[in-house]
Amino acid sequence: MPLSVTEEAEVSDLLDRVKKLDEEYERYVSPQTPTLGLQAVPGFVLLLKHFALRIERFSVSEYVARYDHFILAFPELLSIRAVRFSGEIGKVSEYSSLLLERFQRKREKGKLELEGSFITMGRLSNVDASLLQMLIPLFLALIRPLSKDSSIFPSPLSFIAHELSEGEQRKVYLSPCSLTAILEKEKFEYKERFPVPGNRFSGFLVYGKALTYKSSPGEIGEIPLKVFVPIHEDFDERFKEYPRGTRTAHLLGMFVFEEGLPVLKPQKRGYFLALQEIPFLPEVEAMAIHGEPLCLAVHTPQRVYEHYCAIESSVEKVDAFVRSVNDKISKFRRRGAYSAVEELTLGSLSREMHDLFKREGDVYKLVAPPLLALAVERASVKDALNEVSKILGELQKLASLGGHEAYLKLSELGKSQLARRVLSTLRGPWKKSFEIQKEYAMLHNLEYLI
Amino acid sequence: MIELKSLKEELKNRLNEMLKVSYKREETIHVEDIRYALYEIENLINKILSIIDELKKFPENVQQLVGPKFIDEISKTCEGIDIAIKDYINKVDDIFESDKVRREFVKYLEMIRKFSEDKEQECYNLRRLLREKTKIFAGRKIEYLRKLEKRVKDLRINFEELEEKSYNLITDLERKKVLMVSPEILDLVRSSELGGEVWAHEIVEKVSGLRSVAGEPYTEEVSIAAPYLHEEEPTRLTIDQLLARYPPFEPIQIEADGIIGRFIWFLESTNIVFIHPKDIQRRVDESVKIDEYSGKLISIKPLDVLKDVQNGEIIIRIQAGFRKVFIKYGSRELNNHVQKYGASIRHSIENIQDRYERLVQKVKGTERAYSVSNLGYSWYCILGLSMSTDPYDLDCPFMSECPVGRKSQGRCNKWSWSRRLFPKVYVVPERELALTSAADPKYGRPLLFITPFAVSGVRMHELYRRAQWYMPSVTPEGPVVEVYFKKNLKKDLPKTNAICFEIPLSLIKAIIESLLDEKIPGKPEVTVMYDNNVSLDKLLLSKFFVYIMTRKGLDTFSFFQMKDDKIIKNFEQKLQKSYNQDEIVNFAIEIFGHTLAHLFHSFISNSLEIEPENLLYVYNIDKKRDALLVSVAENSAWGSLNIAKHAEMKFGTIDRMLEEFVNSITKSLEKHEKDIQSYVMKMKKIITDPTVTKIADELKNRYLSLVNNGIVLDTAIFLNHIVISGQDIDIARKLQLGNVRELRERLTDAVVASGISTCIDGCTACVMLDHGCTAPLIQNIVLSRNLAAWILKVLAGEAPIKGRGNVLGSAIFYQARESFFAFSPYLDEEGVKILTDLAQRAVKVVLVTRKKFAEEFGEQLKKHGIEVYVMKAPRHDKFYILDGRVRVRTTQNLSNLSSINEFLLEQLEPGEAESIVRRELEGGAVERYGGG
Repeated sequence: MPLSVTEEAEVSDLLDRVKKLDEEYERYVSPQTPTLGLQAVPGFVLLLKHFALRIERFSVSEYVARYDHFILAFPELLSIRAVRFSGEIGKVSEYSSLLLERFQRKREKGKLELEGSFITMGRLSNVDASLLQMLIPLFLALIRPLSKDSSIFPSPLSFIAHELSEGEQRKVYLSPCSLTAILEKEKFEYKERFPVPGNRFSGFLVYGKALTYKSSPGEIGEIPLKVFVPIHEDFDERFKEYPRGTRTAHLLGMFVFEEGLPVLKPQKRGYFLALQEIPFLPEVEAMAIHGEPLCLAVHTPQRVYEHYCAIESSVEKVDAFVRSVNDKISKFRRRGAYSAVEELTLGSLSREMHDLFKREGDVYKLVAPPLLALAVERASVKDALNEVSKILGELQKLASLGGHEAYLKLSELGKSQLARRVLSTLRGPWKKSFEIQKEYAMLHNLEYLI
Repeated sequence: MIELKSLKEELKNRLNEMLKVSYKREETIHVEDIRYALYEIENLINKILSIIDELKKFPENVQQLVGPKFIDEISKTCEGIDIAIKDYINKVDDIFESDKVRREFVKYLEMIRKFSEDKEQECYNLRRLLREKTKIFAGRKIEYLRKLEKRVKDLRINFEELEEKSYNLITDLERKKVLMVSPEILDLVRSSELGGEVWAHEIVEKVSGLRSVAGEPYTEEVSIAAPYLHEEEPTRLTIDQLLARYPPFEPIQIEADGIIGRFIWFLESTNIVFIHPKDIQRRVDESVKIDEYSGKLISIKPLDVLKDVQNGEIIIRIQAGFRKVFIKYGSRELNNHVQKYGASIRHSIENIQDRYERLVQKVKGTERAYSVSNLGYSWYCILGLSMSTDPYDLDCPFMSECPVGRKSQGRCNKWSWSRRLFPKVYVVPERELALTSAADPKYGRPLLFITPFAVSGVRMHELYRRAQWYMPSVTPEGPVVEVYFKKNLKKDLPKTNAICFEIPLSLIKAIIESLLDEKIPGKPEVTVMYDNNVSLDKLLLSKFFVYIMTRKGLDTFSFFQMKDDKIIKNFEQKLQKSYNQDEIVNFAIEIFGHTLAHLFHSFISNSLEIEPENLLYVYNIDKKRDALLVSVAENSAWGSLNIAKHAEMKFGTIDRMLEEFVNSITKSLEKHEKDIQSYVMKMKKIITDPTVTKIADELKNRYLSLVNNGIVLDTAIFLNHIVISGQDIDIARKLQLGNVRELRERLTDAVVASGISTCIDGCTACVMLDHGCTAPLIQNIVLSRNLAAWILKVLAGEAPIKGRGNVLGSAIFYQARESFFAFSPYLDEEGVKILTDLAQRAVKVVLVTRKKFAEEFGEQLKKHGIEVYVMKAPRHDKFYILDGRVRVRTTQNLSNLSSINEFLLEQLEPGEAESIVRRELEGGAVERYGGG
């Protein structure tokens, strides 16, 4: 596919950033600091077939390695990536979250490199994190796909290379995310057995639109978007209603970038595979676009320990964003579109949100997403946050203290297991992830899909 | 050999039969029809069982979706049905003769029908359930789910068919009259009834079983219609001739309009896809006519690639294990020429050839250009992934489809430099001789433990399920490709004759086990080089190893390309860890049976002067009857050659024939061995070219290092291994030869000069058959001249064998059926057990032993009715006489059975045994223990 010069720059920069992040993640995850992987799309496991061809002098042999390809959201990494698993079928469930002790990129000779896909050497186990599983919309709100003109690029934070083998080897890039789509009644086309990675579904292919946000003037725009809405009992029941009228919906789904490049252009193959409707969290999205990581730095004589414990943004910017988004959506509703977005914005999540997202003076603060991972094995997110807030209070004190004493106190604090985990996760790669998405958007002057 | 009188008699009888028959097809059912229906049911059951076996290999949590009860029930019931159907096949005639059997049979069929109906419904429901489940994304699980769904679908289809088949058979049996005349005669009656003409010779052919006065046996013929093949009418060939001369998938090497190899015929196969042209599948189906009911091939009409086919080329893809193999027939360019010149192409060929040669010269820079008009040659991939008969394919035409081709930029360097003859396609026969259907097996006097017998009027089937050939590669014998026909071809010989012999399986097993026993010294030696021997057991192990490593001979290539050290390492590991003795023993029994069958086949052919293709061999390992059965049958539907009688005329009796066979075979094999050795010696002296001798030394060293590690390869395998594993390059470099080609040209000479025996364990001059083998491509792996010769010698009493009493000794002793005379000075518990076991089988047992042991065990033995005698003076010799005709000379007492002793079998003349026993018992040297 011919790419324009700037697109080429964007794609190669994107791949570089993804690889850089992957390296970072590989270093971070270890048996000492295992990481939690939430099912980004529960029940959704891809089949990864890895073909290898060994050509010898007078013979050739073909090997096929089969893996389950789990798509996971990592709160501690603030990223969506995939892990491969080839152990016993049924050892890990696709409905429950995973705890990973190993996260290794692999480059094998003669095989395609799969960016954003890690091997675990079987070092993974199921863990119950149903509480956090509910917060998936919040993570997804922080991970924004990007666009420029009419091309869509995945966020470097949600990036998976997958291998398809239908006749020949083919690499597709996938990017699970959420977005607001406007699906007009006239643009629905019924497709029988439409091919999606690893399966075929009947459903509607819709030439719809997605909403974008340009951060500098703060405008809401539209961009063409091809969406496939599968009709099957395992997907959202509401999908069946879709063709009846024009609709705005906040969808959880996955970009499928065909043609071997992580960029989606109208009139080309590649589409957004809708999986379900999820609550829309404009405030959180605003944090992803305008927010800055809040640092608690402890200055010791040896070095400076930086702990990023929240995302902070001015009330003014966030409110402006929320207002213009709501205006836009209600405009559509006035034009007769049914809006699923408003309906879902409220609901069960709002209570949890209350604990996570707070106004302090003229700033909004969003708790650092990695801290949520601590809520595994706790009764509620609030409980976890209460425990954490004590540690953060200590940290606050140390930050103002500084010097040798701070160092001693810091090591004292590190004696408690929970505190040690909190500190390491706050020093972890999430801040880098957060900044890389913003940097990437800024550098190439990209708009955010909201 | 036909007697005029019996022929006349036969004719009269058959005609009488014909006249009695009132033939109306819709009212009658023929015995053979029922038999075929049963075969089909059996076939279906086997298909179902193999699907079930596959299901059992699925991971457990996937299997649970089907439910273990479902699988268990089907497999259990089907196994039961399988046994019952096999039984009914053997006694089809009874179904007509006895009302009771018939009623039972119908009842049983009804059971099968009901069962398959139920299961069909269950499968239907199950499949719907699975289909719902397969629609989600489930990683590897989805693959299994899909496979599972497909298997359940297959199951359903098979059950549906089974239900239909059994239903039809039931209604036929209840409503129709049953005929027991041969279908050939029915054909005749039908054609005369329909007012058609019947040639007198047809009647004579069909009722006499003879096709011509020359005594060619009559078998069903296939008509082959290709206008150019023979000028006149469609040719008629027997199926054997057809499959041997013009097998499917191979271009027919016959010229038409100056072009060779333009005709090909195909059989629809499960692992073949026609890629080009799109509509070819239909044409292929049309070109072959197979009788739906009997599976007989009726006619074929080979496709003319340059005339009938769009663009003049056919491309097929074969799924061979993991590999995809492509073959292109015909030639687009040549097709264009044919279109251009029409029938006058014959005169333009020189012209085209000229241009072709220039083209080849330009592209390849070589003088050598093959005939452009010969499509019987092919370019090929040296990886064995493809070949093309198109002379213009100087580059691989499959680059875009082949994974290797896709990786190479521009031209694929794996495409051959020169053309090679299209490989010979072998259609593999599977044979079954239904001995139970024989009317009157005539047993001859056994030669020691080998029992000869002859049967007449016996049914035999040949089934052609697959075809195989070598893909050409660096060596002509590249990787093997097999295709599996969708419809099996059947050949049925309803009433043929066979001469057979059987050997107790337990005895062969004991002999082989003794051979493989590492502790036993004095194994027979096999010459592998003019001054180097290995023992037979080592050879056998090495053979088994090659068999396993080459995946039963089908994947020789991956084995050949291993380096020597890897082979040696594998050899040590595999044989020590992965395989148990039983597997090796079973393999050895198999190759012994197969080799013996080949030998018997050639013996009968030579001594009775019958063309080899008019004979078929069958060997059968029958565990139930404890027998290895080797037979040679006439390849004629109605037994017109009557080989049993023939043999009788030639040898007097059938036992004489067996004796003659054993003698001549052991002698000729010995002579063969000597011939080879002297040939090797002579050749060693004749070849004096210094380069060749240098190469020979290199080969010798490499060969010796393999032999010293226990791996014995025959020269063909060894040479292939040298070339394919790249050792030719090493040698060329070491000897500083200009290039490898120089070396390769001398390889064959060098291997002769190196002194490696040209026939280590079988060659075409001794045990291999050119034609009719059931494993045509791997004869060098599945035959063993040395093993057959040695076991035969042991069985014929010409060679002693060392073995343990509890393995070999007991195996021999337990062969006694009527009487067992034991002269054993020593005795212990184990020995007593053998004696009492025999006595319990109603064998009359007499024992002579020392007084001490008689006192110890006498009462116990007498309880079993064993006569015990004690020696008056201590003696050390021991011997045993079985059934009054076999004397076992041995060092084995009936004690200490785990020790190693020597055994020699000896055939006694009638009466001889009696006099020996009398001399021992009444000579005054012994007395009856316990009085009496």
